[in-house]
Amino acid sequence: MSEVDEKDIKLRFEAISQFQSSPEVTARDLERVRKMLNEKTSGLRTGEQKIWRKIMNNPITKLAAAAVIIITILFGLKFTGGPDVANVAWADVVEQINNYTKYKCRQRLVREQGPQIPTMRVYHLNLSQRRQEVEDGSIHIIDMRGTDPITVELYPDQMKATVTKLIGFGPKKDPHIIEMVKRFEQESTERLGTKKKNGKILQGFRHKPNKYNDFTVWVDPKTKLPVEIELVHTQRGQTIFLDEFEFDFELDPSAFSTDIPEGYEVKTIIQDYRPVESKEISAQDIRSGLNHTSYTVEKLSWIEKLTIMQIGDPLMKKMGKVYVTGILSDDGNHIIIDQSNMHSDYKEAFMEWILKEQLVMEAPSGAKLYTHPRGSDYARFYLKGFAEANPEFFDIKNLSEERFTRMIVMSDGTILGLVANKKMSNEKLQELIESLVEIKAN
Amino acid sequence: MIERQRKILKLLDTSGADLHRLLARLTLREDVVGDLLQELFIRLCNSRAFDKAENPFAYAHRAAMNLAFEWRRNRKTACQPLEENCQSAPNGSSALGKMIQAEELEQVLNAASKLTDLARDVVVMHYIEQKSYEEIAQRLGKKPQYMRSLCSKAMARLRELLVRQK
Repeated sequence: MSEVDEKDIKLRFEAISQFQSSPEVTARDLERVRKMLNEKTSGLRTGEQKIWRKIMNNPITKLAAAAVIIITILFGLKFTGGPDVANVAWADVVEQINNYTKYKCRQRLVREQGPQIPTMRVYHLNLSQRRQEVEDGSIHIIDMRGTDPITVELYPDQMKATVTKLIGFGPKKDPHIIEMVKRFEQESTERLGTKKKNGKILQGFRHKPNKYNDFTVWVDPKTKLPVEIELVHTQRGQTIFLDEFEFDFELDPSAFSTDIPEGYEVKTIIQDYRPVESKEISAQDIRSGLNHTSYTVEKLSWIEKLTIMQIGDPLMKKMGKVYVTGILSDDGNHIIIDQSNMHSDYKEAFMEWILKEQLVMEAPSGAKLYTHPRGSDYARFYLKGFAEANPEFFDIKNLSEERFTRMIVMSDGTILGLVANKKMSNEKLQELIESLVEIKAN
Repeated sequence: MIERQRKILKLLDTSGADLHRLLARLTLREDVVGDLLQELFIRLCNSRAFDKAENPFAYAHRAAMNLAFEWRRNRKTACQPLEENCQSAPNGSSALGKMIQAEELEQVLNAASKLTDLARDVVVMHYIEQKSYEEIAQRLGKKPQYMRSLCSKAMARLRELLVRQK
């Protein structure tokens, strides 16, 4: 079997189908073409205007032209039904939204399975700064303007704060939902009619840009602004509900400050996205690089070779550091165990695999093994990443169609990835999981 | 001529963003889309066939695909992916969505450029624009079963081309 199968091709097309130019670039390019066309049209119009002037200077043709204009207006009124508050065009909504740069709303995320995310009130100051007030009382401040974006989680009841610094990740703009809504085209937006909510008549629009996202937007015809937005992530089995919108909210700028209030106990997490030098390291290096429990593999009888390396995250275009333990077994299988701060804890629940998890094994130590919905791709990228960093250990030409991935959730909640190039027996798999030991400080 | 200009301006207003998106996806280059979009509309302005087109959007859409693949065949330098789409979210929520790396996307699009025009258009519409076979058939004036069969053969051909590339 070849490495490239139909599923792989479809995955690539799927990735291409997600590409979007930024709204600024699209608007700029469209404006450029419009300008070019208008210049062309105005050149042509000079000739046409001469004919129009001739018509209007002639009393007979002038009356005929007036009659045509009146008929056209009457026809238009008849068939558009005249002025109607509930008949808003999508383009009007976009135009109205464009008048605002900041907004706040209530955000609820409902999942069909897996852990639920608490409801929060989100204040979007701009594409790089937002504040989230979560119903559990915590406050999140996200500031992605600088080279090293910062997220701050404040827990006022416990006087605790967690600061996450994303070194080398920014500056970034976060295309939030209103920004996505602004991109809908009139032509591909379906009208849903009206519904009544809290005594107000709302007009609905639906837009399904692809098979992954299904948007429904309910608009107040008077303000032409969204009142409710529902975004169904069809593949992830979750729906995001936004309501209680307030555009151009008033909030003191200090509410977006990432400075920690006095008296808070601060925990700092560093996630390093700077280019990573691939090199062999020791188990102690893993320990010092991770902000959670780190693991190493104890020597097993069937392990012929074991190499520990740091490499750029193969799933993130090599941004961010991943610690990989490469194992060559006596039957010629290449196995990789990966650990990183991206797998830091159950925040990983945000990732798609845990939503579609399938428990396949539970080791006596309490460690659990789950399948990964895109395990073959995950394995391919890790094996490729390892092969590039250490071609002597693994040659990518030997990539096997049998490759697979298992996600390991240790009994303390730490998550590791396990990739193997070829099939492994359950006994060997279990033996390997049981051989994972915490790296203690020297 | 003036009528054609108006028709084209209307097309720009109603479908300009869709055509822009299509060009972006087929080139994976945000920096060249503007030039290609301008080139597309210049071609439409100079096209008498556009006047006769029953569905101006379908005509422009086909022209955009031809233009993008023409650009793909002619260019000599390697492409850079759109940064916005290739970056990964800090919480890793979409990390797996970013797994398919730029070079592999380039490969599949380059392979698609070697398909026949009809097969290529069907593949792009079905897999990149996620249109159903019924919608594609309606747009191209063919039968849905034919579109399905053509797409299936095109996928087999793409596979061959990609294996050969490797």
